[in-house]
Amino acid sequence: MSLREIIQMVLVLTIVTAVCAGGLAAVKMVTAERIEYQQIKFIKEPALKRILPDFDNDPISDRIQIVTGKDSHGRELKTTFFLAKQGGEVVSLAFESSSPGYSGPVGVMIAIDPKADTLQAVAVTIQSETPGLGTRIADDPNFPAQFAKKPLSSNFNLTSAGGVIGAISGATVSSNAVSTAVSRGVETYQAVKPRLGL
Amino acid sequence: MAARIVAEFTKGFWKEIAPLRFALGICPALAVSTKVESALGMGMAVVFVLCMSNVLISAVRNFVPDKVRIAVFISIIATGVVIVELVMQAYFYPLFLVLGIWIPLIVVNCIVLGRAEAFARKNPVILSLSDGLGMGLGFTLSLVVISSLREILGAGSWLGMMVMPEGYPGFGFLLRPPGAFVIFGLILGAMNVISAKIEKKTV
Repeated sequence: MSLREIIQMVLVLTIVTAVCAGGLAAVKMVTAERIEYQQIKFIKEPALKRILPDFDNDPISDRIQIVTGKDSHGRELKTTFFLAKQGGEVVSLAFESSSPGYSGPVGVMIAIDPKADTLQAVAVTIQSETPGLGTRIADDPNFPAQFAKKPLSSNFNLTSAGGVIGAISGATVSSNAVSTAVSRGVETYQAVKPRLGL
Repeated sequence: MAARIVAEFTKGFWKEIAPLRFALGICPALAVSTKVESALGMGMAVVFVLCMSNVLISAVRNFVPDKVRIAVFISIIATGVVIVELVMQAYFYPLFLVLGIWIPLIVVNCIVLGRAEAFARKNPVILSLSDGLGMGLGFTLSLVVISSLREILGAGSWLGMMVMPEGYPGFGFLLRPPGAFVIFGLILGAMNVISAKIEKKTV
């Protein structure tokens, strides 16, 4: 292989991959916003529909993003709040919170009534728990129902940790993930409440 | 030249229809052919990737050294596939959820790399485009035929509309993976019978 050949190969590969990467970055930039909307619509909307009370607006369009803290690298962490309105008045606000479960993060969507300061409902959005055991946190409606209609000042820990939530037997780790996610979510909400401007 | 373009385009529909004649790309052809709708979506994705990769590969064919051509081809094909994936996610999200893993797997679809290697790297851009379009539409046609048979006989509907009489019990076997092989085999058999008849007449 001559030197000329080697240089030509390196040059061609560099140019081709650079052009490909540039093209992909451009397409990604153009579609990013639209993809975000679609993902929220098709993945989060079912959970939203389950937990929000009656509303007459599109909570996905009426969403606000607020910086709620920093991660371990000092980057800003943002939480998206979905506002449900009835006759122009905010009747509920929903947001997602998560906590590590038995095998991966467990995400919950929490709906809060900002006027009465009560937790309206909770629904599990993402989980990869053991089928038949841990998955009951999402499949058994009685478990998330325990969180519903409780004042925000309640202790949302498991009863074993002094809280009010009864764990599903055989799925303590998964139950704990949900209750931790809810407790964290409520804490976050309390911290940013003044900034939401409701 | 015009006749040549037409010939390269039409060969993809019968004479060299890729999944049925060369058994290329049968993985997606069997996997996403339970519904006509997903078959059409998959077919359109492959048509786009195939045309794009054929045109670009043919355009750069004189600059790419032989030793690195596969790496260059795969870069171009993978770029096309990711573009399809992003656009589908942005505008056809339900379809994206149905096709799922099969969209990124177009990268390793033998038809795409096969046409690049066998055709696009030796022929001018316009012929490569017509070859890609024909091969892609031929692939789509195969998927639509397989999925039509499976959806009509298996679920009693076509493109989501009920076509069978009320109370059709359905034939669930055809909707499961083994059913795909049976339908595929029957179509291959039918094609061979028809081809043999055509040849007898012309000879």
